[in-house]
Amino acid sequence: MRIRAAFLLAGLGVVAFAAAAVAQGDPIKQRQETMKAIGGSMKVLGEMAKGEKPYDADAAKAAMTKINESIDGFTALFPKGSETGGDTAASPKIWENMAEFEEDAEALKMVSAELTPVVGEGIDSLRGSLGKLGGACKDCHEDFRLKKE
Amino acid sequence: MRSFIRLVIVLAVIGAAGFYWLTIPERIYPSTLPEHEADLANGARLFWAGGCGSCHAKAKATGEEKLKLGGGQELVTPFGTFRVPNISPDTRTGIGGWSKADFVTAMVKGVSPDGRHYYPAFPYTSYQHMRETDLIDLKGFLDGLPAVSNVVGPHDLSFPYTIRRGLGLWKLLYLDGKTFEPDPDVSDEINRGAYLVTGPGHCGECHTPRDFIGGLRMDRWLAGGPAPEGDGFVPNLTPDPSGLGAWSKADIAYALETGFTPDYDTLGGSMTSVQENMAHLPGEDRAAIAAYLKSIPPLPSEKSGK
Repeated sequence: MRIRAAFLLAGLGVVAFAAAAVAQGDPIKQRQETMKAIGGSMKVLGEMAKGEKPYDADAAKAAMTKINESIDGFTALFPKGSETGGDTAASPKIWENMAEFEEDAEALKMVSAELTPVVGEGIDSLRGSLGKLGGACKDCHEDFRLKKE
Repeated sequence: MRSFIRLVIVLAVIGAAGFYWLTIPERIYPSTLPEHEADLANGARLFWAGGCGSCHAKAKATGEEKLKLGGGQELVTPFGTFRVPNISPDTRTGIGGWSKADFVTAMVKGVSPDGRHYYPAFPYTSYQHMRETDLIDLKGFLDGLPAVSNVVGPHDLSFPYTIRRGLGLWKLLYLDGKTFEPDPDVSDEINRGAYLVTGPGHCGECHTPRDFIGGLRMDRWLAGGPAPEGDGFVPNLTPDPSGLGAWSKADIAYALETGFTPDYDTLGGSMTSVQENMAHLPGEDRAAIAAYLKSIPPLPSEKSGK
């Protein structure tokens, strides 16, 4: 009887732990989702820049706004303990130099805000903006992302 | 017994003489160089294709700073830490005093003007395939860059890599001294790309995996592997599905121009700086590189130990 109770408690413990993990979320997965969302918005802008899709000022502004919003809270998705696991491409340098990592994210926030009206001004403005925006992406990917395959 | 000792001594002397002879640093003499006036525009093109500034300028240098080749970056490798030399035209701390033959010798033979072997962290294993006229053009361009006064400290390597002379043996294995020869069976564009990739671009130095003594595994040409410097994995560039198989020629050229991959991620790590160099090339050179990469044998990636 006692043994059964112990099993029950242990079982409940596992369930509670799993529930907590879900509530807290999986930061590795969440940050990958964020990057994918930004990539999706970049694609909208990139296809217009390359001439694969017709230029649409509203869609361009919406995509840039989405990038600007997506980066909010991004660096909080790198808590201690999430350095490895899953197929994370995060470089250990993030945790050695969190301040610079945060600055890079802030730079994307600033540049995307600044460029939101600009991409609505015409195709040439959009093309110019994409270079600047890409610069912000690359500054961070240069130092803080590691390819694994 | 005495005759045995004598035999050992004789063999040791023969061995030492053989080592000395096999490891003599080679030179290129001015008399063998072609008569050629440096074409500075072509020199600039080779400078950007070669990406000299990615190692020889300060880390993360951009714009004009990438033309100041005062050295000093540290490359952390399994063999130890290499310190990148000053190749600015400063006569005291750089290479301002070098002759054309000194420069070509360094690039093709991996030997310094005072007759010492360079370590292959300096990718002369690729530059040896460059045309001598191109090397003269590149030197002409480098001569016009800003002189930077900066003394760089020595490398910090582990034994036995500290024995420079031993590099002579390594070179017997990995330097063939052959200038690039175009393949008559493929297009001019693919040949141009092949030249840029294997020679000045030295793409294989990171994108081809190395064996345990640091030689490129040519059977795995451009198939990616563990980063030779720092952490992580260098991607497979062959047209295999695990490499660039899904990328069109235009995708590759666009990534080299802008840094964006086909799914609008960006290139990262040390490729960021390389891509920004490649962006200075004429579009036809990026297209040629892309055409060549689409033409090489596809090889599946060997997974890294994650």
